[in-house]
Amino acid sequence: MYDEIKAEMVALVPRLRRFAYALAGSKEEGDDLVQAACVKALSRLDQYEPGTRLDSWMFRIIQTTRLDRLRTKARRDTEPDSDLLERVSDGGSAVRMMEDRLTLARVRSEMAALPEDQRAVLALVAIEGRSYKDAAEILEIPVGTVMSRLARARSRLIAQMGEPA
Amino acid sequence: MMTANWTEEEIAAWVDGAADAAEAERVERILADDPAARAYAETLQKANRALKSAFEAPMDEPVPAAIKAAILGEPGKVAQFPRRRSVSTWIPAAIAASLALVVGLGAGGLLETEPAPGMIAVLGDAPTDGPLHAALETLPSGTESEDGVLPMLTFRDAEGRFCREFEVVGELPQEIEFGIACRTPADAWHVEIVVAAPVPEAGSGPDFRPAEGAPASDALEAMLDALGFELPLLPDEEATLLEGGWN
Repeated sequence: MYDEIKAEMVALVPRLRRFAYALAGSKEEGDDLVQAACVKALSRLDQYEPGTRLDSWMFRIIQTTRLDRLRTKARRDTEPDSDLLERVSDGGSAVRMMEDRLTLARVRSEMAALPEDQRAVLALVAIEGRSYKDAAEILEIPVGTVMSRLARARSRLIAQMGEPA
Repeated sequence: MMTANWTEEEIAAWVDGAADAAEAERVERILADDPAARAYAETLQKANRALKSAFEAPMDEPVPAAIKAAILGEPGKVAQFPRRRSVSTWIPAAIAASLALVVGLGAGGLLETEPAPGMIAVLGDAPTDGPLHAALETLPSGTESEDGVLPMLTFRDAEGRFCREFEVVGELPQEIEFGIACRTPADAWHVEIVVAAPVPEAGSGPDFRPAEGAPASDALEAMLDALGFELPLLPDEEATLLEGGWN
């Protein structure tokens, strides 16, 4: 069973990295998180309930690892680059690819600027496509809290993304 | 906005696929009639897509070697590893295998529920004014610092960085931490991995064997492989580096 779970875990890595990237704001920090979470998960496999979703369990470990780090370490995260935000105008006439690229950079900055708890919810629902119930279970919060965090995260994100009229 | 008979949450739940059948039907009716609701739904969909694209990069990339190594481990390579001699004096195979080991990485990993302020070995750059940095920077392998940091060996990784394996004794009750740190171009020691293994009980007998296949060993071995570890530096090579400030 141990080997099967390991194989399954390896297969999950791209999604774990995506989630951790969204949480941590940088791929490097995200990868550190994923690696730490995998080792942690393997060391307490007895706590994993076979038959349940391994990805949910891993998301949870990644998120708690992240929170532990934020608590125990001076936060080293790169603050969102406000210069970049200002430089990026709506650029309606910009070449489309350029615009997309800038938009994505801006989305990452905006994501990084959100409070940690809102970012986690948004990452699970909007990026990973998990249900509100799944997100609630992974984060160990009520579904109503998932919805209110989502709403707050989105109202900020959408305002900042400056939807072209 | 005119007096709307819908809420943003309702629309969001529909966009997120979280609405039940009845709610979905209701929202779809609203979307058909109300341009503002439709615009909001489109905005949300667009935001979801943008978020997904913004963090998509890892989906197209191969699994990084370090992560793969941390998961899979390679117990077969254990035997040639010099640290084994030391570990083998500490960890009887039976204990190591049966207690499974608390394996920690990074600040959070070391203690599962409690924050660990001031832990010596945490993932990331070791503080340059801290005990880990001091020991790695100055002590020859085999010499333990006052803080319980014992550099075990020094090697060059595949990128040409100097890396050192170390143990920290006495920081966690009943456990020894093993770690690997590599010296960065900024003259810091970046801790790549930390694992904790139980200290054997007194009187476990002399028949110690490496804890092959145990998660801590696997993780450590795998990290060594990922870094491209081949052979440790010789003592005089290490001495030259220590004297020369690692240049």
